[in-house]
Amino acid sequence: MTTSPIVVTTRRRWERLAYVAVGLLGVAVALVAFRPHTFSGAVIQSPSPAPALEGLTFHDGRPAELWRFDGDVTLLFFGYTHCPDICPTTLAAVARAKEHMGSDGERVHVVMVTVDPARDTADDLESYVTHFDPSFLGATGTAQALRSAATVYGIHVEVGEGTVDSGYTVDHTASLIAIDTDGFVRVVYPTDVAPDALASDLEELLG
Amino acid sequence: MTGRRSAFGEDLFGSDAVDAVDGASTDQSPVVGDLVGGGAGTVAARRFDGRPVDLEGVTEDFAASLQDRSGDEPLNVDVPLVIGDGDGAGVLEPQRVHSVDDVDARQSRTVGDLRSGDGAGGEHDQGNGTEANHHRESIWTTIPPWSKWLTGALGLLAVVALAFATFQPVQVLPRIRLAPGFSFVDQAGAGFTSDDARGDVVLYGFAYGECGADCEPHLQTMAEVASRVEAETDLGDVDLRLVTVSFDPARDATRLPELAAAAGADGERWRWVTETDEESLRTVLSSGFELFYTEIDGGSYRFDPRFVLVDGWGVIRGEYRYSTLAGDADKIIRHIGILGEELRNSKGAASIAYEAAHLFLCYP
Repeated sequence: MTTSPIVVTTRRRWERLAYVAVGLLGVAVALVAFRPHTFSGAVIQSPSPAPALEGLTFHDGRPAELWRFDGDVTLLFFGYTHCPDICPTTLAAVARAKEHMGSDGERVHVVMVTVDPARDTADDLESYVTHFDPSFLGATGTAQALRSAATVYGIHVEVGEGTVDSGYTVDHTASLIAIDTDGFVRVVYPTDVAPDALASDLEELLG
Repeated sequence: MTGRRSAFGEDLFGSDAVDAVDGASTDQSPVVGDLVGGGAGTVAARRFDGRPVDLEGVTEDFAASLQDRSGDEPLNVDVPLVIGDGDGAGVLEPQRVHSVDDVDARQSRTVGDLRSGDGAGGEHDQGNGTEANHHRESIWTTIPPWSKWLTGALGLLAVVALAFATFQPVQVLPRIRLAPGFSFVDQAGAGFTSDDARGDVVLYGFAYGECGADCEPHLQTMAEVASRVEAETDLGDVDLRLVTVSFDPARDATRLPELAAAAGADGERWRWVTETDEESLRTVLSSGFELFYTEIDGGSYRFDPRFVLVDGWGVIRGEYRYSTLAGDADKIIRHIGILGEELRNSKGAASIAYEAAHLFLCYP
């Protein structure tokens, strides 16, 4: 018979510690990888699809059917072309966010629904919104249709004193509303959302 | 101290073939942790607690029960072996060594499990080692140990996630949909718009002046919430408003002060409002708050009595139909408390826990 030397030893302690460390690292990586994205606005988990913009048309004459953008993200904003401050600021921020996104920005559709149908013609809307980005769309319709659309999207509209000739302002809620790829309202942003934060959220919505 | 000669001969392992026998856990063997075949002349042993153990030999009975992975048995062991305690204090009987599992295939092509027992097969029968089992075990034993730990860690994470969803350590109210935009007038004749309500938590209810007994539950619940909410909830810096919306503006617009006073609405925390443009009001109530109401004979209304809780973002967080639910005030106050906790605590790193709670639908 031939005998061979055998060493009997316990597993080295450092080796076990290394495995524990790997395990903890795995947990940490998993936590980071799977953590929920923190949106810069108020997230909504609506069980119903985004309300339709019934009776409205885009500035190019097409019906304003948001479902046509399913698979992409839609940003909805209520404003008007004579808006002195918040509308141009918001649309400029959205345009910058789209630029941040590069080619993914092409999958973001931006619609500004007018709250001032008395003055905002389709041509006015086109020249106004495309000034910020050629892909932006304006939407308009009858006063009643516009009021209904604003109401269901939580937009308060109040026309100030004055006439078309003398001029007037329109107080309105300046929320920016993101509709996800499945056609559900997902995030409502305040007016001062930063373009890079918005871009990050939109990337998340695009998946 | 007994002798240190190795008794595992080539017939059993072959020193070249056996580099290590890993993974014997303490519950499998109180004695042996790892067996490592090493270079000639190096014979050493340690317990898990660090004390030495010498491998001297194995009794003939023990040796006879050794099997290889394919189930061939017994392995041919020429020399009876005994496992001795390293400090010589005693002999570790083979019966105490129940098994040495998880031999890494890279480390030994010869030996799978070593099992001691009372005769061939012992308490851990190896006799059914089929080819399929052999193949499966080989695959398993070729997985690097770190990946097992990683798998375990991910499994632990899944358990934690399941426990989070089941036990709901953080509860939230669902973010149902956007509350409508509106422009009402209150009992004092002042405007009250949806923008005015931003930043506050608002409980909306719906009634009309000639409602009578149908609106009693509404009035009682509003009054109870108004009186108890201060003491029972903490909204931090956020205010709570109670708003009763009349859907009968034709008769109620001019008597809102009277209706509010009769209900006990103070005009501060609880106010009555309406809108004179009935078409706009219907859009707000029907499309926005999803309230069903329709006028019937004699100036009465048939309606679906309900409350709607809206957060400071203008998002509906709760809807309560008090015609079908008992104890509305208790439920509403509890939900206002949950909303208050979220508003106060959902900041910084804690916001991740609240987002997870929304993700896992941790609703009350």
